[in-house]
Amino acid sequence: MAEGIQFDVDGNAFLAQPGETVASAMLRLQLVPFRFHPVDTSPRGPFCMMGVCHECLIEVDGKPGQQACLLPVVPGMSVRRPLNG
Amino acid sequence: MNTERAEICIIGGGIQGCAAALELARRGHDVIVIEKDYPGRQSSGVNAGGVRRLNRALPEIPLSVASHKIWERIADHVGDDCGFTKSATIMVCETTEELENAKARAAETRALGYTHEQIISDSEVHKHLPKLDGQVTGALQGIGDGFASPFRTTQAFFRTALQDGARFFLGHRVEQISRSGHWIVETRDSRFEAEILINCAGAWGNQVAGSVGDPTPVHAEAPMMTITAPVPHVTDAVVAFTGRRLSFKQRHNGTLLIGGGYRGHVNPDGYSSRLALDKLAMNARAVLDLFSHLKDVPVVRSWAGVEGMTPDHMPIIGPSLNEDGLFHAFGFLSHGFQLGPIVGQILAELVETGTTDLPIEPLSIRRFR
Amino acid sequence: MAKLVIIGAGPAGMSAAIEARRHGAEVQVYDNRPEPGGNIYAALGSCRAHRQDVWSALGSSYEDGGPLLDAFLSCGAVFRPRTSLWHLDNDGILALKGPEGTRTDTADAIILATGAQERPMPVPGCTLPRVMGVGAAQILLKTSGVVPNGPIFIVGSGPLPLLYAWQVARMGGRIAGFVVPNGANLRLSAFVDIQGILAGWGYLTKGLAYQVDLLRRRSLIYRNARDIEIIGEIHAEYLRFTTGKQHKIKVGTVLLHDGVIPSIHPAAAAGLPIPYTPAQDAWRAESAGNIHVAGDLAGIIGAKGAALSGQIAAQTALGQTNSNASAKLNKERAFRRLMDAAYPPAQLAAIAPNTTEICRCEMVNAGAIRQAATELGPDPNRIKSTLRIGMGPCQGRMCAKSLQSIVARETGTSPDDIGLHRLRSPITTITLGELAGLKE
Repeated sequence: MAEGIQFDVDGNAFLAQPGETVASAMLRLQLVPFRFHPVDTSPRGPFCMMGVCHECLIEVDGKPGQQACLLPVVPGMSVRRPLNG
Repeated sequence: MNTERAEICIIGGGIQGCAAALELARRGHDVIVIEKDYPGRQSSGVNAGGVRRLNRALPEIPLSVASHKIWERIADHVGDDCGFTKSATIMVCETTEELENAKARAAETRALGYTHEQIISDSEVHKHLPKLDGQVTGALQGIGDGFASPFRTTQAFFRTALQDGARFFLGHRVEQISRSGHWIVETRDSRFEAEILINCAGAWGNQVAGSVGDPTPVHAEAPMMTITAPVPHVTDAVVAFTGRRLSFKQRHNGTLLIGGGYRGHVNPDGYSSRLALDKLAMNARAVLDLFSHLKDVPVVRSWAGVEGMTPDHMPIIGPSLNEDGLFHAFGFLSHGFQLGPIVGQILAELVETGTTDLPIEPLSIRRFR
Repeated sequence: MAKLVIIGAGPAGMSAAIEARRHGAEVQVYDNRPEPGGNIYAALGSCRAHRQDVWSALGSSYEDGGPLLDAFLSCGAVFRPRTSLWHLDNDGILALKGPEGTRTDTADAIILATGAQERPMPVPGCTLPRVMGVGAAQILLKTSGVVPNGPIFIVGSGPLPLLYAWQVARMGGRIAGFVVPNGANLRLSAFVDIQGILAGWGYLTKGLAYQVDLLRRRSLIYRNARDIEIIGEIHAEYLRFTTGKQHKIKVGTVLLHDGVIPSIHPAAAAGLPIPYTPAQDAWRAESAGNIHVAGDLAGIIGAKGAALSGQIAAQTALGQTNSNASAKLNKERAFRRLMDAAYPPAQLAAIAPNTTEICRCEMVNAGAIRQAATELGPDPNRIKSTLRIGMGPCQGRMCAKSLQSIVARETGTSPDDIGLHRLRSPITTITLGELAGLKE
């Protein structure tokens, strides 16, 4: 990877490529599941990658409920997976 | 054209119409209900679900108290508990003046013999609202009040009325009402004939009343509600603020249902509504002024339900002044859901005896003459 | 100068913007993604600049977007990426959220070019991580150059899986197997429209090339599969189905595909007509008032057709006479009819086992829908109010079509007579803070 964008997921540092969304970077890094569903705690990950299904909701820079598939990784971004339901 | 005959014809299949149909069918009457969509399509199905006697206008209190007795045994009444849950219901005061007014109100209702309203202290309010930013002075609380699921409730009344023999014509929009001895109500492809007509047409109650010579100053309004994604505990109470346009409750699944009397736009067709985004934003600001930690909570949806409002914010209940065999029960904006069960009973009594034990004269259409 | 707002920067939106600028309009384009391109040309700019290996593997169907993207970026339209439409009124008031905050906007005319989404294909286990749409996996490839964990199994049909398999092969990867549901086709088999064949000859040869390549790569192909089920604890681990005999296969990733359908939600929220098209088994949107629809939203047409349709929409919105774009669009339509006939959707929703989750947000399964439809009749609004289906964050984008299929079959109602449930704003999630910060 020529250029890398540093960001962290759950406190661990990773590199993203230019143009990568949070969802695509996390899938490339095999960071699934993204969350556990609030209704029945079943594990979820990105399904549609186009902003439709709202399955990839994660917390970014302290803000919950972000659609990871629409969000580009930016330097210093801090992602947290709401894995506690 | 298909013709249906019955003793009683009810226009409107919201909670009032369904409750009236249930009551009348149980008493052995032949009753039909004409509904333009389906039961609970408008305000009866999408209101905030408050089962509240708290802070009612004085003339409404006897009805509200009587209705509450039915709510207490709602599962026996309609075969479903309707999600009725008792919950602290409070009108929060933030200033000394607000608290003094609340105390005066509690004293007033107590003097009238009612015991369902009492004052609670600021520390008790904070127990109900542990994350509230800022100070409160106390609250007026409705003892034994709570909330229910509005759509489920309306469906339960509908289903039970159906089981007890009421006939429903869903998807029938009334186009014309006339009289030749009996009432004749026409929809696009059907004609209904009945001796007695009951107007439970909600936001369109005035159209019905006006077409039979009882015009009223009721107009359509579209109060807006917003629901959020589930959030950690905010409150165990149904909360309104005395000095702000804000009310909310937290449902079992953690979602917050937010209102405050902000109104959307009623479309020119009179049947549908649109959100007023500026007012919706004001509603959100009202929440965040007091609960700043909720700023990142997702809004799942907002909506506006069309309802009829009278100038004095009280419903019109009772017989027509001009026509015999005609009764009205409409114009309930923000007040009707809890009253539904008793309104059904009142209408049944009016049909059978021409009178009711409950004091409905202050709610008569006469006051708008 | 007329102000035109365009929602969506896929081929239709980009092409509409270019055309509108040619006529001197002030053009504002909003898209919820970081880059223009829509689904078909997702991340084209960054891929071309930074991921040479991926760029060359994706082939001509992706490269074709380059000139359109370049023309769009230089046409003078204001492009606002990462900006989502969360409210659109039938009186033309838009509300948006993005890096510039939450705001409303108005325009003399609005073009909705919200494109397409994959038709949801509910099977038991489809909510597990490592289960995605084929189109989703293709977007992952475009944005990241990533081929997901193997072994990869594709469940479904249509031309997109073939194209994706070919692209994966060019990345050095492999689709381990195809599971073709009973009633669906994997390859072109219905030559129904000679005009369509001629119009689409270029596509056809490409389609055949994929298939030859597919066979050469020796993917396993299971036809007429029934009782498809995905099994796993924390993510997909096994794929189970029957083809006369029982199969249980270890998987790394399961990709589902049952064709694409228009992304109608914003159009429906604005009160535009949403007719059902039996030939595509999908709702589409129609223009009304000063809101114009373009591209796949107006009926699935593909990238070339979408660009033409965007051009025409811009002309119509600005009161210009149509160029020869209409004739070209008709040719694309003819080809699309052929494709629609060749790849009929499997419509697994209609026969989904009762335990299959149909509404992923509120967790409503097929059995609950069948029971509600039997008790309440086919009106989706009554079913919604009773079951809460379609009331979660996705607002029914992932379940409305399946609900229609199930209810139609269960009640014996024509899908034509089952409308889309009423939509509420916000049509995408905004926070209380974002709503409170609304600027007019």
